[in-house]
Amino acid sequence: MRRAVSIAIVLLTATASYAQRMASDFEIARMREQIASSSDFTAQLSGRLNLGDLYLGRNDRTAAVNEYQRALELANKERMAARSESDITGYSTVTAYAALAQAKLGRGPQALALLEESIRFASDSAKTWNIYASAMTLLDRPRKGVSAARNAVSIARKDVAETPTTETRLDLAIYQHALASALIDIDMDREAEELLVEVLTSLGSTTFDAVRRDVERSETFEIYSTARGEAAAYLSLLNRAQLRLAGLQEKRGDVAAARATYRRVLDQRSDDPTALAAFARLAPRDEQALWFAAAFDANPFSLPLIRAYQAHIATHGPPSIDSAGTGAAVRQAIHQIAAGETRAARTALDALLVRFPANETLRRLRADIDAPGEGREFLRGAHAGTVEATGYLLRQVIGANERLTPDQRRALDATTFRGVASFSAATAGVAGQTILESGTIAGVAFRFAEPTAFLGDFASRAPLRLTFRILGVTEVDGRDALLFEPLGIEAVP
Amino acid sequence: MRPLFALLAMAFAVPAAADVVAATSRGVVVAHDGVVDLHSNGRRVWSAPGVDEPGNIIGGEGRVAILDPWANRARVVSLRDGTGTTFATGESPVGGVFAGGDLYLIARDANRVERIAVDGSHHSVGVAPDPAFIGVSAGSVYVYSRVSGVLQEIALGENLSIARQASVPPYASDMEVDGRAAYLIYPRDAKLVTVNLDKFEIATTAAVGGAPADIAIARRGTALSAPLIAVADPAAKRVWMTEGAQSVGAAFGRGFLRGFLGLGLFRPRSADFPRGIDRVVAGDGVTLSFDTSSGTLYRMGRPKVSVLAERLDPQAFAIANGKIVFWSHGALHEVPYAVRPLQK
Repeated sequence: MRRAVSIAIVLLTATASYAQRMASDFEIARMREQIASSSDFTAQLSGRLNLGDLYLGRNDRTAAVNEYQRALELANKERMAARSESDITGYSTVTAYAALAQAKLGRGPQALALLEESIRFASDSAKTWNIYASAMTLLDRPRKGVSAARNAVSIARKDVAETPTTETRLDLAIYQHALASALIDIDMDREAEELLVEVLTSLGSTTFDAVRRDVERSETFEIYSTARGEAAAYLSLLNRAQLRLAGLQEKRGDVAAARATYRRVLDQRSDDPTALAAFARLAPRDEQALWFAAAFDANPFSLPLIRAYQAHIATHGPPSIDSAGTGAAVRQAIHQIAAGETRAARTALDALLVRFPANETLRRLRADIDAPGEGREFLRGAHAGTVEATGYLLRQVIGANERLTPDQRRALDATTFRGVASFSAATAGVAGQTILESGTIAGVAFRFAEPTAFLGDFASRAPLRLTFRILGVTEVDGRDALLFEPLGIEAVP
Repeated sequence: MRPLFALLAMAFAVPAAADVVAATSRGVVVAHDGVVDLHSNGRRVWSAPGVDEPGNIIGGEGRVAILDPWANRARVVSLRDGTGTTFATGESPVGGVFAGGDLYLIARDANRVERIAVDGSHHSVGVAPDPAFIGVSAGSVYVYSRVSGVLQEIALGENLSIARQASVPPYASDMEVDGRAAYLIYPRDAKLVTVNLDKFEIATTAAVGGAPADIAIARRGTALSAPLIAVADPAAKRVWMTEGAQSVGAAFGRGFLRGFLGLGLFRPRSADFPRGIDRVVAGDGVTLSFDTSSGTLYRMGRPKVSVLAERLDPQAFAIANGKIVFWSHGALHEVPYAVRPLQK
């Protein structure tokens, strides 16, 4: 008789929305080691799936797809072997895993077909329903996911009633978490929150004292989406359930509760990137920069984090960067993009891409710089009077200058801007005139095509309201700057 | 990706879109590649828009319904010319029947049975969680909810309602309704449960093979004879044949099931099925079995088993008016057979 395929693997909902830390280097190393040292099917499969999820958390989709493909290949081979050996339970289980791999590869109908095949033989298996639910939630079919997860929870509740062991209680908590995840996707937040509270209450109960001691003794801290063994499953579930709950608390505006829950996540693991990013959003203004720095150190490639950071610095300006490392390098590139220093940003991103060539976040940022201009904000007021030139707007012009379409270029040429300028030098000209050439508006450098005489007496550094057109992009003191055609100037009262 | 890896990935890939074949009174209907075709007498009669991911075809008088459980759609088309309407359904329409001209389908993940009437009007009724199988008998619709272990009879009035319900064992992998009996097969417990639909109670429970997964009515019951049931057992790598309940008047009184009468009928060597078979289709004296893991279609014969096709989709074959038909490589293939009634 062929050995039974273990289904001790516990599956948690996909990690796409929860970026992994750069400290996930450790998890990646552990999974590689697991794959290299064990020929066991579940070790190989969970290793591949976890690696895929870890790479996906870093937005390295190429590496992730490669791992998922390998997981699918493993599962398919095992399916054939199981059938040849009349191991129908094993066949059902690995068919579900093949479906999960297909789901992670984004192949919805194929995953569904495999799940239906699996469930024919194992509709009494809460674990199989849980895989079904996880796959459907991954594939953005949350109503199918909710239904499957309800089946898993229903079966697991009976199991707990019949055999109330640590194992059955942990399984139930895992399935409740999967159900909560699917419910969140269809905005059934209240039921989801109740489930998550139940999960966390259960995990905090004395039932799991032995598991917690095991976690402490083994100094386990890794978080996986596919965990083997009770300690790893307990820890991963605790992390994910707290993050889900905190997200719901934040969503309904209970910031204090959300921060407390995120804090518990960080107490468990201090470099959790999702919790750090949350603190960057929720912390008092004077603490936000520190939280952003920590979040970037944990995972520099989280696109939501980057977008949040871009919004932060657009409002509050870029904080100083005191640390080194990949997170700091990405933040520096973001600062450069925001400042319109596109050449410097390209150089920085290109250097990062040498180290992380398949990283989609870096490619996205690079593409943002080089993308053709569509719907430029600074063109919205073209032909409609004078546009107020903010620093943000002028940086946009610098960043987009090389990629404007002919129509956009014509629109820009026809637009009149106005902003408060500070000139770096003011030279007295003929009687009653001042010669001006270069300065800044909201921190963005500009200069005229040639020194220009204005009627009136103006001092350098004094705020002057300048009306101008933009001729192009140039350099001032080695930095990107705008070339203006001045139309008028007046003192600011 | 390295070439070897790509090759392996292709070899095991599931087709991007499933193909589904069904026999009807007007010919063979094939749903594939977003279209639905009617084939008759070796030619395609018409081709019309279908659904993107067909999962099942439900045959009716003059109409068929193609279900798409992925996108929650049902397209009902006329067999005359392929004209039809696409309906949005509840979550996961996985099965259905026509009764009284109306389409009844199970929206499994919504826990509802929906009726799409001839005039296109839509009604539904809630049923027990995980309604997985549906059947029709004597003008009534029966729904088996798998995880709940509940069989429900739907009253087909203007407003749908539950007329009767009974507790039956949960986790069946297939249900067939024939006459006034419903047959449920259980792979984990290796048993066949027969429900008397008149009394709405379990009539018999019989042990069957190793992990029986699918059943088919190989021969309908008559007043004089019991139906013959084919059971696909992938663990035993066998198709078992057994008698079902005979008739309303006699079957349950005789204490059926009688047992596995036809073991010699289709008991090929297990080596004939390298990976076993897990689906069975029977009718007109012909029995087909199918290995879903490899997509291999077998014809069961005496004394030997023959492979008809490989790498088929699970629903891509049927028995139709003297021919075995299957859809493969973008074409409908037909294998004629001589009609020969089954003998015990």
